Amino acid sequence: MRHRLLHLLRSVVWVCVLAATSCVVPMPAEALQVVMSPPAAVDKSSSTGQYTLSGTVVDALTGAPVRRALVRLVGPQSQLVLTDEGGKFRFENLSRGQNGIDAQKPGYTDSSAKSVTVITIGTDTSPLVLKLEPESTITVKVTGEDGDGVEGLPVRVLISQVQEGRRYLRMNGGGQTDEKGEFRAGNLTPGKYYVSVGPSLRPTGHAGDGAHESDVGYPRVFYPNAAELEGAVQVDVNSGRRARVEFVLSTVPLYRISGAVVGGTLDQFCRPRLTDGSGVDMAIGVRVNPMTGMFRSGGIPGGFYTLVANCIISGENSLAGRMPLHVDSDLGNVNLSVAPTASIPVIFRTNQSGADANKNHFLATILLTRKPSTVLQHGNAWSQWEGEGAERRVVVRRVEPGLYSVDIRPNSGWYVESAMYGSIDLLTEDLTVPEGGATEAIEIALKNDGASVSGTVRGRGATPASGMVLLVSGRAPRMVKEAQIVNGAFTLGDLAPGSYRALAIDRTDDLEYRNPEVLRDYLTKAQDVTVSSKQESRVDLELVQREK
Amino acid sequence: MLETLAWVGLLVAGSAVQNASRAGGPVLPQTQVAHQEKQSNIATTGAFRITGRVVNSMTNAPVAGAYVVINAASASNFSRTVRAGTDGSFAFTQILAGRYVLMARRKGYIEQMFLQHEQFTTAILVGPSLNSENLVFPLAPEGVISGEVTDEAGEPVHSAKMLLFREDAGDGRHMKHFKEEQNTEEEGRYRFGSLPSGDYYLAVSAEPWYAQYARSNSSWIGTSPAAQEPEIQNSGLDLVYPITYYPNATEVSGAASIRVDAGGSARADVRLVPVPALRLRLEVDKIDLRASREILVSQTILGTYPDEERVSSGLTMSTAAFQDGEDGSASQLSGPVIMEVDGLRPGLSSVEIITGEPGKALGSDEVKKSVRVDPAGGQTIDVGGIAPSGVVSGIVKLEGNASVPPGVLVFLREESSGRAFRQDVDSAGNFRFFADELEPGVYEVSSAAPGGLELRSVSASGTKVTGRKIEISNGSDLRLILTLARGVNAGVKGIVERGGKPAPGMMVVLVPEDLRDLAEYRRDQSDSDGSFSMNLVSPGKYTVVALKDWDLEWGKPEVIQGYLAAGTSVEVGSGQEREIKVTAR
Repeated sequence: MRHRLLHLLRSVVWVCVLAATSCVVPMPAEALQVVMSPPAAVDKSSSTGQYTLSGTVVDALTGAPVRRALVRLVGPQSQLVLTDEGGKFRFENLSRGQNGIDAQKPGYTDSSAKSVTVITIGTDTSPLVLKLEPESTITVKVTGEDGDGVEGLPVRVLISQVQEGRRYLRMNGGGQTDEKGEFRAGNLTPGKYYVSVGPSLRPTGHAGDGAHESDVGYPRVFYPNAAELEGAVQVDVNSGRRARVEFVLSTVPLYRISGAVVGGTLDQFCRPRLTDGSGVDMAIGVRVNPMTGMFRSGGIPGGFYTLVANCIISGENSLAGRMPLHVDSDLGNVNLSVAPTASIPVIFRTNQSGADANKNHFLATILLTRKPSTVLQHGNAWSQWEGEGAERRVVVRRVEPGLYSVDIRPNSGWYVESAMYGSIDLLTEDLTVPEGGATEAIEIALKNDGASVSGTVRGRGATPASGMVLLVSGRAPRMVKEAQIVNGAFTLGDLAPGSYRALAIDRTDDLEYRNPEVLRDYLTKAQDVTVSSKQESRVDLELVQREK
Repeated sequence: MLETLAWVGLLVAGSAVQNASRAGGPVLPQTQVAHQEKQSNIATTGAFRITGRVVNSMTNAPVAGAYVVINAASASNFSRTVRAGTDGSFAFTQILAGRYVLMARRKGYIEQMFLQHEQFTTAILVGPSLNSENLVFPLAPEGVISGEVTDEAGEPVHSAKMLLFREDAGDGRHMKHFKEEQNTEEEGRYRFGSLPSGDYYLAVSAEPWYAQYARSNSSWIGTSPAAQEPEIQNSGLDLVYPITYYPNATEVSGAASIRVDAGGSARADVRLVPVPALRLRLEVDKIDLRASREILVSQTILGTYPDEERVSSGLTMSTAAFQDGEDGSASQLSGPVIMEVDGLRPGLSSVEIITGEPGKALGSDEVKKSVRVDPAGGQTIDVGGIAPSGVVSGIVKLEGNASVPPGVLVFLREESSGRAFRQDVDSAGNFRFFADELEPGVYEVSSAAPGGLELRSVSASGTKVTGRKIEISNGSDLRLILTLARGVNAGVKGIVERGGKPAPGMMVVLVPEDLRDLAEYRRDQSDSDGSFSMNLVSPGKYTVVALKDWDLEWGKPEVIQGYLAAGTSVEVGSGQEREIKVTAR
């Protein structure tokens, strides 16, 4: 029942426009979760099973039992229990078979987001020991020039992370320093983090001799003492580690930017914002006088910024503009031009027609990612399909001028035969959205006679290989399909006919496999496989082990 | 004089302006103040000085290193900041004659205007024969409420939403107002700093961390109530924490006040005890499959804060989709559709069902239905039988058919509770309130507009209009027409005296003839020369009184009655500005 619901939920085209309206790409972890918890209806026979499963939850660092940890059976049999004072748990009336199990508790890394342990329930099931990794934290302390802690200063914790084969800079925590000048970012997964503090949300003081006066405040600084991401040093956070970073800051003069947003009309409310060179929002307030359209920023330290405006207009259209600024004094009369954003029609066509077409959901997600994109932002926009039969349309709205990579993800059962914007092949090239909007529609042809490739993966030693199989399209190297290796085997379906390079890799969590440059070195170890429509092909692969 | 601290709020990027804003007495055109361009660094020198000392309001000890800011209250956009010396002294020199608003801040103290009461301050008048020197600026040290939230096992509860309310007489009678919220950190701790002295109330909205795993994460959708099954067996962990008030009360009647004095700190720990979660079934009418759908369940805390408890959204599934297996052409429905929301707290809740228009993007045109229910009943609610929520919509017009300038706001203020709601007006002059956020009742309509525009008249279709009051009942649509014009309203200004001398810092109250007509009251605080000024006064008869006690419940007729004899009567006609003298008690 639940399964059907998921299916129906997909009968909506999700349109994400990164950078313009920004969006969340589904985490691979969620996909795993769906696989691991099939039909939600509980197997009735499970309550009459005769097996029990017991064990202990322990702290991975100290080995001490963890009380009141939540232990979950996930999979065919779903049950929940909290551990007792001794960290012990017990499930009863279980049936024989394979099942997933995980444990969690606040203060420990949520392991369920990464992996679920698969166990076999049966006569010889021995007590389990589930380990919880204590979460990592970074405590930030900011001291001002008077030796006091600086209160109310923004703090950001960013991680450079690979997700679905693409690298993003991602906010992993943030807030403001407390009355002691401290901020604590908790629940961090082990990794390398950038930490930035500042700029002051408002002036901390005033300096000058009467002739040249200005407000002063604390600048934005990346750990240890860099103005931009380029000079920053990452803070290495191991499992259970409590890292502490300290900043000692001096105030700098603050400047103000004022001017007008031009190109719109007064009733289109445009609030400009300031980002740094990497696209990270500086969280500096900009006030707009709605009666005149004039804007004026709060005080900002000198440096390089981009002034960005997205104008909100009710309905389908919007205006946007951006402008780089070098700030080393008060800047007046800054005119930020905004121009209409593009609404790009997308036409999906299939090889099906008539009554058949309505029976299937030949739908896809289309994702436009503005380049260069370093920051993964949150929020999403979506639009519903229109039309019937073999041709359906959707419009991607509010696309700012710029260069975009286009990612099309068809629903299960379909593959992308072609994706064109005029004469531009979007499977191999990027989409340039010019000032003044797009003139053509994106035309996508989907087919359902895809091939499949399955096979085994040989690892080293006796343990079954684990990792990921990547299938790189010979026609468009940026098109990569991936499948998890389960018990030393893999299956990949919905493949467009053509040639591929198949590769099995042990670790892909930090591998930018959708970046052809990065993958090039590995492709020498790949095997060729060519498929025709509806062909079920087999290929056996050798696991490539990446050096740690 | 009246001043707002809007500058601070606007500087914090992304700080959302709440649509339902609390009424600060009579609705004031704050936008005008907020959007004034302030500029520093303009070479504006004169012959006058503002000097004084910043002292701790409790101990009178000097506050060394306090930042003191002056802003010219006139249109000159002048602003200057100095830092007080070790003896707390400050001096602004070479300034022009005029009216200045002073503000001071220092770590450990509340940022405040000179002799600030609510949003009022005593402005300093500077000029020949005016005394603007040797001021004593009392800065109140911050009050703090902090504590820890623990669960039934004594473990810390992180991410619990702590809601802080403060009782004050800002609306003319003692009322609890939502002040701010924050979440407990990982170790279950919270801390509210920078609090002015007063009586506070604390409410906690939290969910057991494990409970989300004990239930499905989306609403259950099916075609018959019998099909409903708990998804996870007998875990006993499908629990919720009722809204809990300090000290550990789950009923409002058990809430106790927390007294905070200036510079004082109070500790308020809360322990949460879970109870079984409740489910609510909704029988919804037939829907087009493509319609978006959202259910929102909320409880109102201390009569003012709507605490969103459970939101679920999803597409509805048709009977055909269940029965016909792989046939996905499920845009036709037969029979009722059941939706279920789980994880609910006991207690009176407001359930909102929002349905999008078929084929349109979420958030465009929506149909809202709302019903109040205690989910403890375990009943199935037939949503089909509930009328869609009425919409209070309307248009703002200008006399003479001029176009409506940007920045116009429309306010609705419920008479008995004092709750106020606000909406922006679009470029065509249209505005729209959803009636389900407005409880049925009598509402005062008001408007704030730039450029000296004032509300002249209100007319409506769908309800009765009495002056500027409309009646809102559940389920019916109302359409309002608001007409604005320039300079209809009158003003009253003057001087407060005490013993023949100007009396600064007094609360000046303009009391209408009908003491119950809260919307016609106006207030101000007298400036350093005893002057006060009240704008946007409707033509009529008033009594102006000047009081020392800012905690007085001036909105209660039986209270203000006793002060009227010592007041000054004034009658103002349309567009008139009257000048009077008031003697302070």
